[in-house]
Amino acid sequence: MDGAYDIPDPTDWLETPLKDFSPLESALHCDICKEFYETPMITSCCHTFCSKCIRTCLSANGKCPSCQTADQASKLRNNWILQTVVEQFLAARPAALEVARRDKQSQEQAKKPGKRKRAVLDSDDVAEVERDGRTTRSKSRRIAASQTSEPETIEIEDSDGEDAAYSPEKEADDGLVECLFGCGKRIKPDQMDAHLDRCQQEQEAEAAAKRAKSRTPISTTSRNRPPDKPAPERISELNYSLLNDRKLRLKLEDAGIPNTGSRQLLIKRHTEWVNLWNANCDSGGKKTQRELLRDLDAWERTQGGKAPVVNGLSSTIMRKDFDGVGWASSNKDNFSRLIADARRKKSSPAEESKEGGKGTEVVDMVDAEPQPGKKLQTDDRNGHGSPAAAQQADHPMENHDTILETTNDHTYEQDHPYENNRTALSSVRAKVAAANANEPIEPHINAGFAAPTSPFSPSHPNNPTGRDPSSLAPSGSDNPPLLQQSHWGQLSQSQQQQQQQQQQEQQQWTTTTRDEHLLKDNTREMCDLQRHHVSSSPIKMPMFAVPSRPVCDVDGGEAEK
Amino acid sequence: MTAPLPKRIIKETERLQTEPVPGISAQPHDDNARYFDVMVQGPDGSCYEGGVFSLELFLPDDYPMTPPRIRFLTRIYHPNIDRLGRICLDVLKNNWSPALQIRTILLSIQALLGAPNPEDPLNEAVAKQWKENQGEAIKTAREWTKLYAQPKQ
Repeated sequence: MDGAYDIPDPTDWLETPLKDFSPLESALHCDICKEFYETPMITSCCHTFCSKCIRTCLSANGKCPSCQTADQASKLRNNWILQTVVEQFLAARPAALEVARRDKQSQEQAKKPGKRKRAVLDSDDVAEVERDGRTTRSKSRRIAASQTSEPETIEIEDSDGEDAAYSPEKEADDGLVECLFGCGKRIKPDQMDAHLDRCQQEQEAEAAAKRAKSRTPISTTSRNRPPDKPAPERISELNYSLLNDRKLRLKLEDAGIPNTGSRQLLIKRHTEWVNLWNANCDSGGKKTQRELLRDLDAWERTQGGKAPVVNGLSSTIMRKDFDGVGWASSNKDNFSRLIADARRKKSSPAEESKEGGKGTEVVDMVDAEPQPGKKLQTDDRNGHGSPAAAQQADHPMENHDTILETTNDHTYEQDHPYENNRTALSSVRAKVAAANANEPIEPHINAGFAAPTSPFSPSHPNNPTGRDPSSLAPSGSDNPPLLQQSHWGQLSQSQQQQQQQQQQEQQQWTTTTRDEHLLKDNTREMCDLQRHHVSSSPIKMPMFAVPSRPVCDVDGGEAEK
Repeated sequence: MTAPLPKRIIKETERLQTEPVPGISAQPHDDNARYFDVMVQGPDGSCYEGGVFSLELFLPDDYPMTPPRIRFLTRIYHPNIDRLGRICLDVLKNNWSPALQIRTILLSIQALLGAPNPEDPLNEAVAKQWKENQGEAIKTAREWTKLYAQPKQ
């Protein structure tokens, strides 16, 4: 356990004679982050939270976490008195805890000398564990207490001369030299002399100020008044729906934050920035802009654009409640581009080799399936289905967002938008074939509408589009039908090739589509994976024809309730 | 890299260990502290009494701004829990608030076991049975509890 796990907690008081301090300390905790209030803000419904917490929360759903009343970030007000209380409590806590513990120890020693440890072991195992945890913690706390009480006051000084405090770590390798007097500033070597003169004077002045401050008994309260120097101004929230992408990017640029990524990411990033910035304003501008940018970067790495994608694209698409229509419409551009591409190099053999390459890449991607997906595997006995699906099933739109985000982020998925999307692949192939035959793209639907039972049977395993290839070539076509058929043959060959290469992936699908298998159990139909994927395409349904099986899964629909 | 563990999660985990809620246990995984194995006892007096149900719980990166993801791993006959173990519970969806926590959510789930609500069903078939023939439904629930939710020796 490292230092990050050593945290003050209200339960620290429970085994001391000062039990009542536990609820007192709990009351000084923010309900959102469960830590001591940091720049507490009061809402219009009179609940108090940390500034950053409540701002994040309000930007997420606009409601007070305690009473679910609608509120706005602009109506938040500083709860100065509570801030003072928290600060004073934190200052007094280590000493008080130590006294309380010492008192307890002496009491115990008086009661049963030499047998203390033994007695605890007998009484309760849980208590023992608890005690051990506490003892180590209290030790480190005592050490910390003896060390931190001094830096605490120095920290106050930081808000005056903040620039000096932050520069060193940030610009460690810039070829500058650190001030010899230890003010923390980094200076060009040739300017050192001039600086040293100034620095000495400053330090003397500072020392004088410190002496003066330490004499005043209420040194810390000075910090709780709105500071004398003008605090940085709050940024107002934007109405993102009124801005187009270009304007939004400009806004981000103006704010001095990265303006790359998808629109959703831009909005999320700007929201986070506004929250960080305004929370800093609430605290009177303790942090520099550089520090705020570092905070934003931390956010970016964990929850923003650089965050690891928890669920691979494959598992997301294969989920039964995946929004196929949305996916199809959002990728319409890619579809058209591919069709155009295919038209240009029609009947060029390069396509087949490309197909092969894709196949292996898919397998790679499945291998690289991220951990959480694996973790959520369930045991078969339970009869519950796809783990990843269930984990995210309640938020289909959210998932869709993630997909869009990754696609726009110049990732693997963007270059290969059809990986794992069999329906899309086969539909593109059909459209390519149709385009080669100079047929309009639409007739696909018309054909299905005219004769829903015949070639448009989705269950034809070797012909994933459900279309008879010969019907693609009309009699008056420029291309001889024979060529068409051979071209089609190539395609379906490559399809089979892909199937072989993706046997591993099929296994994966077996798990991810188990929901559908369960559904099949009900209808006592034979299960045919390939057909699932083909037949589950919502986009190919004729507009007014009754689908042979429900387009949406029943369970998936209900899950929204 | 993964998101650093917020102190809130550490605190909640610690509190769950030191002051466990009666009839509920939640253990984080060693390699992923956001992923919990949860055991919930069927509440006394309900048709799930005597059963020990296992659930999985995952805290998303933006927790506590978004609710934890929870799902039953043990099969259960309940109108608000579907065959995949997903749970229809308002506080897990619209009524989530960052002021709630793992402990309160698990208590809500235990309460849901004690008070099935067939009027807002997730599992239509079970809900229908529950409304039409409650005695039969409760009997089935008891049987399923015996069948699937027996505590491991």
